[in-house]
Amino acid sequence: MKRRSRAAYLVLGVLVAHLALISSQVDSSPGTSVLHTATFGVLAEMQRAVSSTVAAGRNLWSGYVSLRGVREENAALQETIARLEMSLRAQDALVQQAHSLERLLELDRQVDLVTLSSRIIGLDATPWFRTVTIDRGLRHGVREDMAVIAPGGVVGRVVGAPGMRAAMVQLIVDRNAAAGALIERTRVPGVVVGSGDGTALRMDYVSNLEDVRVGDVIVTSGADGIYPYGLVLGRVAAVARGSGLYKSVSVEPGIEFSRMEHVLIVTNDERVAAANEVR
Amino acid sequence: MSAVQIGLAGAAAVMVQTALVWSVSANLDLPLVVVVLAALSRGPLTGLWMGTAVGFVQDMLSGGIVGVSGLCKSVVGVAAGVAGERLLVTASWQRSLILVAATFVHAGCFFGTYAFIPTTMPIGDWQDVAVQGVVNALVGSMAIVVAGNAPRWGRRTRGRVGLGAGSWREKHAR
Repeated sequence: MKRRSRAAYLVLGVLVAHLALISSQVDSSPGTSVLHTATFGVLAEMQRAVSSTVAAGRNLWSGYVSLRGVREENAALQETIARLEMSLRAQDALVQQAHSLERLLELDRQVDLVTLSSRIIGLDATPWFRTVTIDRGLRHGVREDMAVIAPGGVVGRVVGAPGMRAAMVQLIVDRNAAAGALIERTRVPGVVVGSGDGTALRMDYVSNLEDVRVGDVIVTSGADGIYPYGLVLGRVAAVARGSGLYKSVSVEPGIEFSRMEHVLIVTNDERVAAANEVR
Repeated sequence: MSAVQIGLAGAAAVMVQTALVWSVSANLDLPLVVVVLAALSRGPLTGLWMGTAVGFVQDMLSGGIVGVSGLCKSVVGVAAGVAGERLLVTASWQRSLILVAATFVHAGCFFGTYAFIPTTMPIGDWQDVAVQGVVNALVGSMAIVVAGNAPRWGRRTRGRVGLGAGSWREKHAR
């Protein structure tokens, strides 16, 4: 009987401790928790080890086991590369031409971002949030709220205090993520947020009076101070007249998050990029 | 299963969860499966500590508030432990049923706690929870089969090694 009540007190104590821990995070002003940073750093190293093991396994498979017909594939690829090189040279010329025109028109669009490449070493440990762990941290100059991008567009932003060699990135499809946005064609502003299912986006605060069409490209407005101006967020997948003042706009993300392996962190600091190149 | 083995299983479950592909990771809570199975086999106190530790590690590697998974997994761990002591849950289907129920209790606690935290919202709905319950039960059943047969498989392998060693010794004794 005594043992039973001791166990009950223990359960109660642990539950109260949990509630106290949760309350302390909700009430306190944002800042770096030493415990959180240290624990995250240690756990991220474990994630790195697991990720490396998985990657090594995959490499072994792709390198030794599934290399049937690789010679033919190689020849075909060489041919494709040659074709692409030619096309790339032609496009380079066009890009140069576009750059000079841009300068002529004095369009001061900031497209040259200073970035730092990074590998994804782990997904969110629960099924209820969309975050990933990347293999760059404080040591590489990564700071909270830095934007993270990929060739398809915006990936998300660094959240929480980064560890020394790892950081957590909240994906733009997470329900708690948001970015200032513009419809590229009409320059209509709004806010793009995670839709709640973890795979799609939604654009809020677009007036019912505005012209929005399926297929319109949504880009970042730069108004939030996190995402630089002009990065692709996605395309309008569906649009409907809302019941209130605003339209209901569904957005298909520009990035296929399930296939993402590498990302770029927008540091916008030449010193950080230079230091990492040296390293 | 010793306490160390259970602890290692919990740590491995969290690490595997973060290394899974998206489609699986979004429909499976492997750490929850491990907490429930540990609680069923060793009682509510194991469920409490296992839930606390595994939930804490899970929260540290997640975008949520630290403590919520710990709280909910502790509750589920204790409840599964009590169920394991009082109910007959020896068959695989009975444990699977407990795993489905545990998934719903865990999700209820998780969504319920976040309902009081206006700054953070988890994704997903009850349909996702139902899918997760089925996947958790399937993975849990497989884990039970593997854990149940592992000693037998181990003995068989050791036996084979022993026979080989014996014949080698016999050959060289001559």
